[in-house]
Amino acid sequence: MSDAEPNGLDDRALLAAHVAGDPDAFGTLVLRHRDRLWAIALRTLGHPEDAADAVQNALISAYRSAGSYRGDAAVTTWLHRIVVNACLDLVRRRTVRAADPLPDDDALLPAQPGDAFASRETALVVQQALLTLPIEQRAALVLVDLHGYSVDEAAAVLDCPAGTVKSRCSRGRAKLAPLLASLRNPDHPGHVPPEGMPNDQAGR
Amino acid sequence: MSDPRNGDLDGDGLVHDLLAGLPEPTMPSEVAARIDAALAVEAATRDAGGTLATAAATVTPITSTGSTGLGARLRGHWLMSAAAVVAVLALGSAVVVGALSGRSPSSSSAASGAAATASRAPGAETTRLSASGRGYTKANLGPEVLTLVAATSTSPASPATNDGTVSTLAAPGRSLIEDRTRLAACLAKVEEGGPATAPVAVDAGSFEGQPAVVVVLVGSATSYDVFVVTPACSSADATLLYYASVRH
Repeated sequence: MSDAEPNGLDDRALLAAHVAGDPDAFGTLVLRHRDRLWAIALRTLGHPEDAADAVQNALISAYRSAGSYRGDAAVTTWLHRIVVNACLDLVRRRTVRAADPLPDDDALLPAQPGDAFASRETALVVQQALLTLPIEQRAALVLVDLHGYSVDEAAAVLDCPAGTVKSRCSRGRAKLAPLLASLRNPDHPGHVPPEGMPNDQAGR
Repeated sequence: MSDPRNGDLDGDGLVHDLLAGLPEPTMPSEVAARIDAALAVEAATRDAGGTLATAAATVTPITSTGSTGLGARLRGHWLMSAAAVVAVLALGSAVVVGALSGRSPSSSSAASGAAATASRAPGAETTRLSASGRGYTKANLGPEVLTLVAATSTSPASPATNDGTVSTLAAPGRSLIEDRTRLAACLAKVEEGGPATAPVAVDAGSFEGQPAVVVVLVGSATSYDVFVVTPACSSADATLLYYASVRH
């Protein structure tokens, strides 16, 4: 995760410029990384409205506390940590959301060019299975498996030991395995619909 | 131990591949506009109020994963999790409890009967609690854990035929093994909101030369999750010294 940018200032320079009073620097930084921040929040929380709240809270916090950035981690790691913490904080404070209706499929999985129906259905099952995990395991898997972080990088984002990330990922995958078994061979006569998933998703 | 729905899965690999295959969404324009507007308000505040440093002084820090500001609701959840693990431990290790307390095997038969109807992790028929003083290392953890678990499965569920490790508690982690409430709180903390499952084995000894307690949980149909914690492990301090997934 390099901060370097071929065109313009790198992330550290942008953050320093923001702290020094450049009115456009932080906006440039946000524009550069907002899709990834959004993806992490959406996958971690599973609900677009919550994800929007978390990213907004995180970016305002980052805007205000940029002066405290010490440069011991990449700016992206710092930003991602703030977003993940905002997600965790939101989940812990907001118990109502679990009873809310699930968002439209399109909100979670916007159509991709050439997107096959089957792969889209697969993605929905995977996404819904992911949401059955405890938030800490989900956050670790989102970083490591969905976004390709190394365990050490994820540990830096989650502010916990690498062993904790490993255990969260391992146990999360173990919980997902039976839920996703149908995707391996859905035509198998012994196929059992995934458990622990919303009824309107599990049988698709 | 085996779940037929796991049969077609190749461990972590398939789950990893399925997760990695999820398309990465882009931020919707309305969300981007909303955030831009919120940041514009911040910028206006900054312009009107002076330096960034003074603005930062008013920020309420976002709660970090390991901080203590989780609030009453989370504490309530935490206590429930710990209580659930206490219940599982009480059921899963009923026979060993009898050994620890010096009661006769028959005195725990009612609890054993209850255990037979309780929902448990596959393979966690009983929890083996011991303080063997074994010197675990990163290199020998796998074989030692398999030996520990094998001893559990081959020992009849009776304190009289236990191999004696419980009655010769001597390792520094003994206090954790004996304090069922603290052990349950430690396990709940290690599990981090996961299901309350009885460990396959808990053994006090050392890890890489320092006092430690090894906790073996069912990980999957083909592996154990092994957590190495400090003897001081509790709900307040669940320092994880090491974690490994051990195939069996």
